[in-house]
Amino acid sequence: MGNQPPRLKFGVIGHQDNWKKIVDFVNSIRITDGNPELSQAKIKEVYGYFPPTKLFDIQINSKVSGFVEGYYIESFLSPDELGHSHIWNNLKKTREACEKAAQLGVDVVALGGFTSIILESGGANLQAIQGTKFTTGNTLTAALIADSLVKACQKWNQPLKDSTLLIIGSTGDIGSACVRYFSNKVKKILLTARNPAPLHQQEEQLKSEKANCLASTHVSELLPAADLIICVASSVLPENYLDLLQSHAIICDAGYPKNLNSENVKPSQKIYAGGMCLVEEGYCFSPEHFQKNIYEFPLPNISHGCTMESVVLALEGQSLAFSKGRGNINLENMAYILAAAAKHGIVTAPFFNSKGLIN
Amino acid sequence: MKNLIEIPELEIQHQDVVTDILSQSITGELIGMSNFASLAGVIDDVHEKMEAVEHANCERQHAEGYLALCKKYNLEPVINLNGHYWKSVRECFLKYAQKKDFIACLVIQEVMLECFAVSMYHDVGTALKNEIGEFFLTISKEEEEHIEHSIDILKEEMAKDPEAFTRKVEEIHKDCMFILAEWTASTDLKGHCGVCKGDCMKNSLPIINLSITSLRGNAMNLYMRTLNKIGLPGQKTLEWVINLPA
Repeated sequence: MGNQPPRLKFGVIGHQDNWKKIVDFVNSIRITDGNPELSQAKIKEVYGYFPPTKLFDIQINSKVSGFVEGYYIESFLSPDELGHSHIWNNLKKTREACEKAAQLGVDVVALGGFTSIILESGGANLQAIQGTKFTTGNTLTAALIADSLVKACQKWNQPLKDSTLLIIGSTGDIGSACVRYFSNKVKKILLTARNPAPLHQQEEQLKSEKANCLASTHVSELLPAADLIICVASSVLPENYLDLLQSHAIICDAGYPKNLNSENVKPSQKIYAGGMCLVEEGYCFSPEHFQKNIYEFPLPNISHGCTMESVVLALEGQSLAFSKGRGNINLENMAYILAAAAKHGIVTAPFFNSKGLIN
Repeated sequence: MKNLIEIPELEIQHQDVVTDILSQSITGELIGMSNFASLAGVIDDVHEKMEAVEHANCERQHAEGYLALCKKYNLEPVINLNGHYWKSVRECFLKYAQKKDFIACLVIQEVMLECFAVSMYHDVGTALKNEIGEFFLTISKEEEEHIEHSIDILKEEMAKDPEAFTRKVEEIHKDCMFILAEWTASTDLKGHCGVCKGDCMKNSLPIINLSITSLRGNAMNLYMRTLNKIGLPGQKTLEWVINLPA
């Protein structure tokens, strides 16, 4: 017993990525109380004004050490206001959510979705509030993306070393981690991002390391050459991107939200949700009805990798800002967190997309 | 005889909406004054009685301050304590005052009404970049102190019996906040308020870069934060607010 790590409490700060989920969530509460449902327009009038709030308790079961408990704190960022023009308001709300986590006495907190910007954009002083540590969760997300793509290549007979890999959003925190992981494992690596300066700096760096690479801010120029695609930033894709893809292309939709169109892909093309994991021993929410409205996937016991990073750290008795800043994710940490997660039964998710499991 | 006192002028397009805002503010302060005066009459504890009188006087001074501004700017406010919403709020308060429920009265006046006053005064004060705006900001600060004071008392009540206190605040919320929510909805849910001079002022707020949506949203935000500071569970208070009329 003396070697057991102390039982820590984890936290997850998140936000909703579409109004449908929010409307369902709000109206489920109103119906329970016998009140009429509200239209999306009415809900939009109030939603963004809610202060960050703990919505439910979470219990995650481990394969080796019982379970760990934590909280989900909703930041109430509006899905319409996730862009750069709202960054200051979003940073303010995220900081308030972090303070809420600290008030609740949480040991280690993962910042899901867009809330991670507070740690990625120079928010160094927010790595901790009192004893509460914050992590973007990006290391586990990147590790899961990399692991899933390696497995996808094996499953669908696309040898990695003979493949051209396109990384969309290559200069971001997760994108750059994927570049580091794959740059010497594939035949050629293609890079794209919105901002040309860091993109070309990244290209120069890779060329100096003798990697075979090409960068462009125009994703349409690169799409036709790609066998494999990791899409961390889906918003840069052109509407006709499916027409530009190779017939055997494998796409890891690793952005947030996951909104790549999987309806019109050819049977030989594969689009799956990346950066996701399966909690083998299961998890539960209390009160449980929240799960139905705001955290449902086509398969049971699925979770985002970023949120599970705080769970793994709590299970391992480590309260620390594991992922912070931008461009700091290294391969050693990716290997460590993926192995630690697997020990507790938190593994790379089976291949699925909005239509369900992919065979 | 020539008038030697110079009357300052508001921009002409702002006059109606500013008059309506001042009308609501004066009426609201007078409702607050009346509420505390009623409370002073019914409660037995001498210290609470004195405190209620002091609060009533404070609200009276605020009303006088707003009246003085109206006079200075030659504005003619409508003061109507019998308008639908203000009258309903007053009746709600009296229901608890008659039961000598000091804590319930404190929740209505110092949490629910003051949160709306502090937030809306702040927003109006920030939008009106003039002397009237400055005054709104000053009163907002003063009312904020009332909230802080009540939080300390209500925290103690919460600590005595958290479940019973939560149930009690929920009941008061349903009584009082439903009125405030109907009043501040983007579309009138119960007709004209009886205080605005012409049509509902909500439609004119954009003239001074305000909207009823942001005024209401910020007020609800402060209300929820205040409930959370008292120690009420955030998940519960969120559900309460979600269930309000909109």
